[in-house]
Amino acid sequence: MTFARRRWLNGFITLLAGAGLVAWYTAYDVALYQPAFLTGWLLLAVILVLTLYNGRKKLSMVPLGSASAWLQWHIYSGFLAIFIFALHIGWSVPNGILERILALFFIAVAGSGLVGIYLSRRYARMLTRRTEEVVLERIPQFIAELRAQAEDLALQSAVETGSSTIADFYGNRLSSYFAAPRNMRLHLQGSRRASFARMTDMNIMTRYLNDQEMVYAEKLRLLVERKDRLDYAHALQSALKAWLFVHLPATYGLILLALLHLVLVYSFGGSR
Amino acid sequence: MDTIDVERILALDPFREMDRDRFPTSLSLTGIIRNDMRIVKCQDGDIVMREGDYGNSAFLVVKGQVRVILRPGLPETMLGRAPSQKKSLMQAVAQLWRNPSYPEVRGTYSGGESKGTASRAGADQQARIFLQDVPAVLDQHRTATLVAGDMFGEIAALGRTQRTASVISDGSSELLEIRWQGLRDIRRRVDDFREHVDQLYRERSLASHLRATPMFQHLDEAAIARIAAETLFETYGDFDWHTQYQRDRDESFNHRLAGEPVIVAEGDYPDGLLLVRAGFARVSQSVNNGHRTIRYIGRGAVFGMAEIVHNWSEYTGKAGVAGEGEAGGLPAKTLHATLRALGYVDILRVPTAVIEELVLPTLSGEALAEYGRLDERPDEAKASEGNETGVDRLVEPGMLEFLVEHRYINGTATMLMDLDRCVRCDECVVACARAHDNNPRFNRHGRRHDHYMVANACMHCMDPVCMIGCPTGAIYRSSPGGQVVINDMTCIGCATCANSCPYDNIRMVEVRDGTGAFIRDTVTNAPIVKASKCDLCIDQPGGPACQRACPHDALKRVDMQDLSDLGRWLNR
Repeated sequence: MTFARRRWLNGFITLLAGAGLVAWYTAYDVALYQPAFLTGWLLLAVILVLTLYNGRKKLSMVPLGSASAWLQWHIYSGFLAIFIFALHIGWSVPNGILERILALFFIAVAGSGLVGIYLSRRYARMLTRRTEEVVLERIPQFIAELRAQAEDLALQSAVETGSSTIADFYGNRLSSYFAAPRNMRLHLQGSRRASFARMTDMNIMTRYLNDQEMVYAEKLRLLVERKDRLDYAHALQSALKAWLFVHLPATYGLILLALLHLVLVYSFGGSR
Repeated sequence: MDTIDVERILALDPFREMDRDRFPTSLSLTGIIRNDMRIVKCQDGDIVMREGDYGNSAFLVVKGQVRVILRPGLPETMLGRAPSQKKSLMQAVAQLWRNPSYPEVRGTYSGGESKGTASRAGADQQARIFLQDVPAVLDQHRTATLVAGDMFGEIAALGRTQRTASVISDGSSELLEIRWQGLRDIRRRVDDFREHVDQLYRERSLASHLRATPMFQHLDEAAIARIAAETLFETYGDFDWHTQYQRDRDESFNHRLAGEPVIVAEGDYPDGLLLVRAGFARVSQSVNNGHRTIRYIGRGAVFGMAEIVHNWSEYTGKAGVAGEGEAGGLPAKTLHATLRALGYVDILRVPTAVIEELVLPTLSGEALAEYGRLDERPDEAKASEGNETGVDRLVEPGMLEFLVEHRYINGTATMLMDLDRCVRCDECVVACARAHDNNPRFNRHGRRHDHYMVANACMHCMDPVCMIGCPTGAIYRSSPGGQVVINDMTCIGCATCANSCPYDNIRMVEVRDGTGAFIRDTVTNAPIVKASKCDLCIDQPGGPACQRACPHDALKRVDMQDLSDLGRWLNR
């Protein structure tokens, strides 16, 4: 099945489920029940089902269906949960403090999930186009290797050519650049401004170099380019992992608050 | 082999009869015997060759006798192979907490020997597996006896196919082991030997190969026998292709293409139907000054049928073939593409006249129309069909060239990754590690084409060159799944498989005990080394964990013989 067909099919099933829900909601309302109880229980059930996806990822060795099928369910059930949530709060801002905090947690979970989908689709492509494959955890090690090479180069150029232009440039402009991953925000935006500025500075420096120094400058430029690619990979791969640090803790908080909300509703909610 | 032994061998049949003048000075018969043969002294019960192993040598009985175990053969456990038993659901889940915290931890290696067999050093100091209770085995199995002068194992060695039976030494015996290189050199120069081997293949295997070919399936025994009698055997390329590939893989495309022997060229008259018996071939068409690969074919494939059908239809005026039916007059259609050996290819050539006499008149109009359809170029296929089936099977030319160039076409479970969908979460690696005692069996790294990457994971090749030469048979193809797996118990860490793998997908690892200390050889005190690679999660209840664990549909284990499946995946 193509991705487009799968999107259509899953979208259609979700819409159908949403329409069914609206019908159920209306029937409940017409029957003079409080539909908030229906949507509340449904929302809790869907959220609990959504959390099972994380468990499935841990149980990769058990034949529980493919993780990709689970993710599809997770995404489209998530869309449905957003709709149920909107019905539950009556399309308006909740009025209690606990309810508002609960709503904020839900928005954090749903929002981070949506951001996660967007990043997964966009950054995966961007990484493929501009970087070579490198494991995120090993990037600091690669940067340290580049830094050592760049320092050697700067020192060597000073010794071999008797000129300190490259060494000075390295000390003033590049040493902090090679010290750690840089320009994360710009890389995430897809901006090349910082790289361009650095290359311009290097080009300006070359006006003061002779042919012998130019050889070193060219080698240094290659190291700067490699560092730039590593920074880019670091920024994007970090972002691809970082959203989960919002999504997962917020989910646990949401479930705890939802259970508290449930207890309070049944304690003080009156008749259904 | 020393000079006395060489002289002794030269005095034996069939070498005594061979005309030594047919061998060039640089590759004399004496030289072949010295370099490509060795004398193996076996004791009672020694397993000379195992059913299912990939052949790389043949044997001649010099003294004593050996027993061929007829079907049903020896059980897998007796052949030094681990029983392929899947974990239960609970055992699978228990991996979450039972997996060791150190890398490459193994249990003790005692008590894990195969049932009914043990190993001992032969006279040549090579490890040899032997049956512990030969009389019981002989009682329970039907056997055939081979005596001095008999040769066995030559078909598997020449075709690099699986051994069809196990052979054990019956009492003490002396055997001459002939490497495939030597066999091929002799076969090329000695007519009697070649005819003998060809005749054996004709008798034992050819008919079943022909019967498995779609256009021959409806023929009766007499027709099959006639085709078998007329079939010519041809070999192209270098049998030792993996070393050549490793040497040339960084050379330019044109350099490598020039090294691929042409089997038939585009524009040649189709003088026979070509059946691929073993190996792979590239089908390409000329484009100005270059060649474009339009597909690749492997064992069991057929080439040239469309042109033969077309020409016969033109000649006989049989309508409905390729949309044309006018009788006579038009020039014969020549081959539409060039066929080149990728590595090595064994070809069976059935002469056109035989096809025209025995096969074509018996085919239905629909079958003729189907076989008469020439390969379309991929872009033409897309344009002409336009439907989903056409688009699905499209593998864009660049991808096809990439797969052929790097011989990934050899894989039956090649790990292909779509980097446009991969979020680098490493769930695949984590899942693999969980399924293998916390040791990932592949690297999420490899060659790239566009946004696809072939990761460094065992491809479970059609032609598993890693299996050639394993002294204990520890690396083998499992049945019934066909995965290439290593039995850790019988692996002696010689690295033959790792050095042979053209794709660098086998690693040698130093193993540890439960406390994290290296397990050491009691004599040399050196750490014990084992070969390690992807086993396609053979013991896991759900199959390959890597593929199932990928949440973004970015990873697939692809059978490269199934181009339509590959096309569907690439064109999702």
